[in-house]
Amino acid sequence: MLLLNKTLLKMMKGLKRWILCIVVFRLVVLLGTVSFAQSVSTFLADLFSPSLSDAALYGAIADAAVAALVMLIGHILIGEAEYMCTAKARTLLREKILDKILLLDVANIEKIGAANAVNMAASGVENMQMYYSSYLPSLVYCFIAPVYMFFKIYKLSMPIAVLLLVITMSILPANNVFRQITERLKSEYWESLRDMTSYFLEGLRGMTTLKLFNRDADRTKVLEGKAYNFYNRIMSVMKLNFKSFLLTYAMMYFAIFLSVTIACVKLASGEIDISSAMLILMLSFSFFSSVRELTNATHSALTGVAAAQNVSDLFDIETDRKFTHNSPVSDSTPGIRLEDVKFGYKGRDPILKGINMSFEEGKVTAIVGPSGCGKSTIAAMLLRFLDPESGRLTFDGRPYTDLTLEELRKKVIMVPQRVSLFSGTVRDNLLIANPNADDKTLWKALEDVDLAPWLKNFANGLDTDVGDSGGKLSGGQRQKIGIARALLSSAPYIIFDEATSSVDLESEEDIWNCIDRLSYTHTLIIISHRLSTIRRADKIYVIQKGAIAGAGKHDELIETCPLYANMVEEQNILEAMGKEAVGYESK
Amino acid sequence: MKANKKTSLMAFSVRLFRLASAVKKQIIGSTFASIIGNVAQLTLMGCGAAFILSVAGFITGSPVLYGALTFLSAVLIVVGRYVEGYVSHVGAYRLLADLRVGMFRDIRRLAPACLVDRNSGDLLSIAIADIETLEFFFGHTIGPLFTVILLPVCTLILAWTCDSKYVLVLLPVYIIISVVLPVLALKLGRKIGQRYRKEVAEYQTLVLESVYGLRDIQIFGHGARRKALLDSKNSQINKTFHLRTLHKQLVTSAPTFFIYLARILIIGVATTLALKGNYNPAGVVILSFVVSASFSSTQSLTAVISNLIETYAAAERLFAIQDTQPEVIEKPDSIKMPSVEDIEFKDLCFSYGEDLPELLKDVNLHISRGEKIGIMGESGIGKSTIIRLLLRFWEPTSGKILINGTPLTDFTLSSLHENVALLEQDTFLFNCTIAENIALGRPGATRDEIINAAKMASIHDFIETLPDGYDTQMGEMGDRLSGGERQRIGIARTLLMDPDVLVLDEPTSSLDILNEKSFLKTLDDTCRDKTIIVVSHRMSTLSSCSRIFTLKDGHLVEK
Repeated sequence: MLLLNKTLLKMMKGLKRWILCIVVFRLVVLLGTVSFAQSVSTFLADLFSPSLSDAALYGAIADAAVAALVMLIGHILIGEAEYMCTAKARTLLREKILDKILLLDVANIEKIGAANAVNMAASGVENMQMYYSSYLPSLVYCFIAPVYMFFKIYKLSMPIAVLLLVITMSILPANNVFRQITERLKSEYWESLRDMTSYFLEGLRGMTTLKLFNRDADRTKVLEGKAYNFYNRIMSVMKLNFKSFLLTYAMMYFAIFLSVTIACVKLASGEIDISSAMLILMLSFSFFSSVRELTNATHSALTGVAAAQNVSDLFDIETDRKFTHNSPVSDSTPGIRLEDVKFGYKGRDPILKGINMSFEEGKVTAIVGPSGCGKSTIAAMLLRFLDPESGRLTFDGRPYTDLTLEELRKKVIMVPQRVSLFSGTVRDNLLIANPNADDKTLWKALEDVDLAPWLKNFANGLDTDVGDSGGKLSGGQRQKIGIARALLSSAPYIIFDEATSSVDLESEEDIWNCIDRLSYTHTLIIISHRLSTIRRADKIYVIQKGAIAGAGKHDELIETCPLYANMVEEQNILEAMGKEAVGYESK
Repeated sequence: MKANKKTSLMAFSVRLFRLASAVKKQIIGSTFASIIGNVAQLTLMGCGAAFILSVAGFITGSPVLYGALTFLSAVLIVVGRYVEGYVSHVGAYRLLADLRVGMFRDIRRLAPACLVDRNSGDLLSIAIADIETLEFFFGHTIGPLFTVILLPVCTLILAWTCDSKYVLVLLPVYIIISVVLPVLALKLGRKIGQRYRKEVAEYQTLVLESVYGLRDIQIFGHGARRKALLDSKNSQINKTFHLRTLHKQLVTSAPTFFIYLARILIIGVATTLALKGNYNPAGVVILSFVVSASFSSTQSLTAVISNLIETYAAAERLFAIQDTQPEVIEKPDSIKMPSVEDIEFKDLCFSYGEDLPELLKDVNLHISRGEKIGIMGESGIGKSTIIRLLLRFWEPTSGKILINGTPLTDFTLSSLHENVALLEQDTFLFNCTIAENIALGRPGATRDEIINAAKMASIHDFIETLPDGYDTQMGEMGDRLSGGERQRIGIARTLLMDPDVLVLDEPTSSLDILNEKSFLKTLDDTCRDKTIIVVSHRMSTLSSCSRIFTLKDGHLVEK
């Protein structure tokens, strides 16, 4: 009954007007209902009176017709106001949710669940808008309508009017017994829905694997458990909701019965006439229409309120970044520097233990090291996906925190391990990096990454569809699009974070050739586990367990850094393997 | 996935009813309660009016009796409504749980062949949101459907006892409200409902893609434009919702208008009768109250209709999946596959559809135990198709595959999977620990066995560097590992299964040269005694194969 959700209430700015409109139009309909009841009851009473005249009857019919028309118009107006309210709520909620999601990093999304985030923004919002267009107006109406009805009945019988008003007004407080509904919605209903949804999505995505390993039946069984758990949770909420419903209806109908009885007593004693008695019967029923509407609205708002709990979890995720202004420039040599950077997660070994590094403008700098040494954490910091725990990063001597994220990402761009593509055309996917690029520029970028010859095979050229999430493209083509994007963004610094670790051999060659060419025009930061590819870098940092184990050119490191020398040796052996047996031949 | 788009509303309703029969008890119970509640609504008004009239002395009968009946009606309404609501929801939500599991089973049945071109966001939207919409049918439609017939009939009988003229004016109104308007509303609203469900699903797909591609969006500051795209989809939803609201208001307010019309008509008839002098005022009064109550259920039916259009659209999406025929059906008398001694492809032909080119033409190949077979050819030429036929993703158009001389179709699918393992281009990791991911094929494996498999796949050392070692959670988005690391988990997985035959589909397509080499070395070291079939467009991947074939123009030629 009383579903007050802070998250939803906080977001109702701009919706109040429409909620008010809905209430007002509902009151118009109420006026119609009451005046109709008056006409009908007067008429019915007149049937018993000898003074029945044609004119009075036709008058009653005319009055009733006007009232019916008013109600029809009122209903249509309510619909329009409801639509305006839902449309606005939908846009508003989605905007806020998306704004927040766009600020999150992958680890954060996993915290709330990707499937969950998606459900929240799509069907969750469809449910939440019911709160604004249906629940809140009903709640407000529930306080106003009875007062109006009170004054209508007051004229007929004061005690009945008082009785009805008191009971209506105590229905809400009485339902306070069931306030755990909101609690359970959050802790039980939503959690179990979230659990089931994620499990379902993962099952869908991994179905082929599950079948191949004969685990699909087990998976179904677990899913069944989760679906039934969700059913139990939802029923525990419903049980409470229907108990509240039972209490409400019991109070309501008892009040109606009492009113009629009192009316009869008064009729017998002659205090009121039969027309008034009949009007009381009709109005006492209408008296509670606002409460009935509220119970219905509560029922349909439940899922929305549950979804809102999820939204509040989302909003609670800390995404505020520290920013500074006009800090003194320490060393204005162009380039990016890391100064005593430390980073770690609570309760775990530190990932970076005070790292100093510099990436000079125009140079190629490589970061190498065994898996888990902290290379990718450094890459994430260079783009400010992460901030160091202590120490700082500077760009041309300015602290990173002095730059807005937008400024920074105009200067530093990354080609990640796995480039994400979006459904749409090749053009759409390239324009992400630079929405104003013309076709000539796009083709030029494609030439640069050796994709142009492939794309020319398609009649549609740039308008070739890449499939669902780029599904029609191979890993190599995907990465090449990623590099083309980096080129189009015209950022002077490009980070390659294991950009070729998931591509086939031919694309790998193409991509490294392309990186070579880029080294003349851009500042490159290359993270790669394949050492032969970074042999010619101007500077190589060797990282081990969060600390720098060596820095310098390839030849120097072979001499000075045993770790590096070992890694090179091992890889040389591997790369030589099988070369005698089969010559490199593709296709 | 094709489904008959023009399924009639009748057929839909029948099918939904058939689904509902799984929770027959609850449905019957709640319908019964709904009838009691609604009839009590009539008697409350009727007895209430009689109560007043008897007190006023216009009718005979004890006021106490009418008063008691009024009270009884009130009690029955409250109890009836409560039981109806509760019981119908027990049934409805249980049904939803069953439908969700059922849908997962359908996908299991159809996978992988029929799902290659389905979008997982869309499927998820059916499983969660669309199925949730069906709650409306099971929880809120069936009860009103019965009372909508019953209440007008009761009322008409009462009207008949007053004067047949009342029946004449009431009947058309009931027909309009209970039959004409609902049918019209469903017909008019169906397209709107379909469009709305479709657009919400499309929106969901867009968000899913945005979430999975979040990092790239952030890198290029593409957020604002992505939002604009989502926003335009949202505006589309809003436009459709506007139609839906208009529809809802018309559907709910038109009957209200007719209800008032009916009550006016009664007054009209009463007037003419009164002027003629032969009428029964007490009867008119009671009738008038009963009529007003009788509409409570018909009114709820129209509310039902406005939601039903969405329900039908959602059901249509679900049924489309249920109706899809799987490509491969397991014979009921399938036997368990024994240890694989030899595999024979005999005159194998295949195309993905009647009007699509034939990918394989009379492919013949005999493989004995322990052989290492390489199949090469350009991408898209049908190499992977050969092994997918071996794993029965699809059935060959003609020709057959024999295992130890017995047709492949004679064996159970599960024993096929036990004996023939496939390592795909990319290994899918589940959001559980790395140990559980490795033990996917053998859930009972001990930690030692898992570690052993990981060691053989040369992934053990890497796992040891992870914060929680073998208990590290892989995360929902599975992007913590590189392609090479994922492939090794895949190998460890298959090694733990210990199949006779290992089929590798472009196993190195997402590996760089360094990873490829070490991957091949691992394979060499660990699978000496296994039959191996490798499909690749790269000669280097096939370097250790004993026989190498080339697939060209649908024919398989030995090198």
